Amino acid sequence: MRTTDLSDLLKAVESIRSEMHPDLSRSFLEAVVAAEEANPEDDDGAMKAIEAALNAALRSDGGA
Amino acid sequence: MERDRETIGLTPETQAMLANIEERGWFMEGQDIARFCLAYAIRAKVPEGTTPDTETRWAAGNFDKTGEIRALLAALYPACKTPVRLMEHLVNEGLRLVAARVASSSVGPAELMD
Amino acid sequence: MLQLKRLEVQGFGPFADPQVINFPTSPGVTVIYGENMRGKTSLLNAIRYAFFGTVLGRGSRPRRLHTISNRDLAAEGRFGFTVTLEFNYDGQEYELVRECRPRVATPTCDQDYAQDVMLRRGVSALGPQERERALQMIFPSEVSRFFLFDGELLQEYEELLINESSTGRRISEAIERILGLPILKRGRAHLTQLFEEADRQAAKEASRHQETQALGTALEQVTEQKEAHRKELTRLQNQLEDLNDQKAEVEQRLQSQQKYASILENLDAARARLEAANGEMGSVRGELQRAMADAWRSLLRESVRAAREAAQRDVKGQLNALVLSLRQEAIADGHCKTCDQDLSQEVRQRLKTTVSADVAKTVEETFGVSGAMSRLADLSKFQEMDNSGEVRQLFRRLRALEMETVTLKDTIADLQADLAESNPEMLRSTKASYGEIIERISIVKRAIENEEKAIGEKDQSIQRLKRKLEAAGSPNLRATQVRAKMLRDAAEVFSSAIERYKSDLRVRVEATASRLFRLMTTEKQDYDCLTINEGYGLTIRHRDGRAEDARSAGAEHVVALALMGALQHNAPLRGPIVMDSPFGRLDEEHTSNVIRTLPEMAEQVVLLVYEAEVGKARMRDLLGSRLLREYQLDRISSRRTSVREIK
Repeated sequence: MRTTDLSDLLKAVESIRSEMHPDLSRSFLEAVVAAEEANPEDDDGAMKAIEAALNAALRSDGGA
Repeated sequence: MERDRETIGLTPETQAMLANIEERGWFMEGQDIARFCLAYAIRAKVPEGTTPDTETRWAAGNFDKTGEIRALLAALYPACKTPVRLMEHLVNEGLRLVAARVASSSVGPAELMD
Repeated sequence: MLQLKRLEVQGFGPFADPQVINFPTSPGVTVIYGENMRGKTSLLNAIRYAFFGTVLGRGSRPRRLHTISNRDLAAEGRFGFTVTLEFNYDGQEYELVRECRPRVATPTCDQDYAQDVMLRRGVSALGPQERERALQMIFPSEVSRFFLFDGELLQEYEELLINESSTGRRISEAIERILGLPILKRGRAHLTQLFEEADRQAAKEASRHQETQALGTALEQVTEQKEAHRKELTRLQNQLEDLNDQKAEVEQRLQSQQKYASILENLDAARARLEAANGEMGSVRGELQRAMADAWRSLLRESVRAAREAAQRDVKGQLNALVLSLRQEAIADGHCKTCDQDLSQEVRQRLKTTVSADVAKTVEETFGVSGAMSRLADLSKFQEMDNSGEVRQLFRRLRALEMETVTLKDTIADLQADLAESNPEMLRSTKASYGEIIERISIVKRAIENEEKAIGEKDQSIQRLKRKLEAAGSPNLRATQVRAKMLRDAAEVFSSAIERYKSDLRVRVEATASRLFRLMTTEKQDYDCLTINEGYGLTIRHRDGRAEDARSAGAEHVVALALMGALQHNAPLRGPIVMDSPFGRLDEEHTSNVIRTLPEMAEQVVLLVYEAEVGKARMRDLLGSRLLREYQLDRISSRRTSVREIK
């Protein structure tokens, strides 16, 4: 599945983000969705990808 | 004069009739059936007599523990000098009469007493 | 999106020689005609086999692969088969080859075969792990029911309306899978796991520094306790799921045994009554026997009474005779022996007249007074009684009980015959199991509540401690805390997004399904729309707002097709619909409506039909330019079919 096919799903995530945690990185959440899409049966693979996305998001935010 | 007996016996034929009645489960033991049949024969006015070719089943003393039957026979058959033989005869005749009646499946103890 | 391009089968079902179907790539419908036993279901199964390595038979039960080999070839000693499927997925070309080849000369079971799979993406063949990941992503097996189906599978969708149905739950889960919900659910789970790990790291970090040590240690401890509760919660939730599955299974067994359950209940009741009757019969018989031991007395009661009366009359008569003879003597002697007095002439005369009158009344002196008195004495020894009434009552009761036991024995024999096909012990144990499971579910639910409450309390403690730490913490600690917060916030977003997405999806699926349903139904005047429940079950609504509760199998199929089409339109996962003779339960008008709607349901539709269902002319008329290609399955022999494109 391509991310374009997940537009409705991403829309739902984005709408919640903007309501609940507007400071939270949008691209990080999109990356989590992509990580899960790419690793449907692989917990370790998904979590590694999420951590990588988190690190990238923290770096771009000037975080640790 | 003929000597009286001390035991009460049944012929092979009346033994079988007793066994048949026993199977129905209305009586606790064979003696109860024999007493009942004796009474049945008396009620039916069976005359005094003797039954030959019997095989002993019970001692007369056991059969008539209270002496009622002997007293009864003395009263009802005053001419009889051999009450135990008479008891035996009445038992055998009574068995024949009762066996004939209960051959019909609709006859039970209540009907016998009517 | 998945799009089929070419299917080649060899040795598979009735397709002994290699047979090819080329699917058009533009949107529309491909129709394959074939009579019964010509291989329509085999083509559906060939696609299934290519993707999943399995073949389904009736009732969606897996078939043994050994039975799939073409029988003509098998008769020649040639076993095994190959399916080649070329497809396009998101703009990328793939070729999938799956072969089932014999390992022995004459295979007799599945174990005598080996399976080889090759997946080529572009020009490169994928390694086994990558191949399996790719196939799982392209076409997950748990959602195959939405793409490859027949009438039997369509019938299962009504289970979605039954809340506790295990089939309904499976289908709901498959729908959520196709709608992409696992992405959000797994995202939530992974983010939660990661933020909890980050929290633990933060607590460890805090405990390394003097100024935050106490807080850090406390936070570590509470976090560990929370983790322990969470593990226990997970264990309990898994246990609850197992128990619910067991409950559903037992319910199904009970339902199928329903008839037998009530027969068994009647049988047990009859046996209990028979036992009671036998017991009562025993005691009544005992009482009767006791009564009959004395019954001889009752028999003689009347005889004894008559004899007593006769003896009393005798005694009286004999006394009279004695008195008469004494008077006659006194007349003759002129002297009374009784009072020892002489009698006067007058008295003698009087006695003469009375004696002649009494002579007629005298009783023959046969036995004498003492004989009659003796008889009376003997008769008085007799214990008079009358228990005939008691005997009558007891015997009547005994007879009634005997009749009752005979009737009960007949009833029991009949019930046992009715139960012959069942297993009464199993029935009893099924009922007992059900009771046990219900109880265990209740216990586990209570335990889950307690664990959730405990986790909530630990969470609050954790938040309090973290706030304190944030105020007191070092830069390193702050970095860890920022990381944990980001993960936690993301987990919360995903958690809420699940419900938002589900509710959005339900609205969209309901709308699309309603539109498709209105196109397919023949009751356009009366039916307004479909409404969807939590588990994606669809209910037909009348224009007056009422639900259509009683649905025929045909209506069920139309609703199921509407759902399939709606999922295709709204799901991230899209692909071809391949349907095998789905019109069995539909009348002509519904069939026409469904065919006309097929192009709306998916971009690529493959329809397998036999001509009696829908003839070629009618099909062409209904589909018009949306009918892209037609094939015919031709009979070569009873065991061989060839595929021919109809030009």
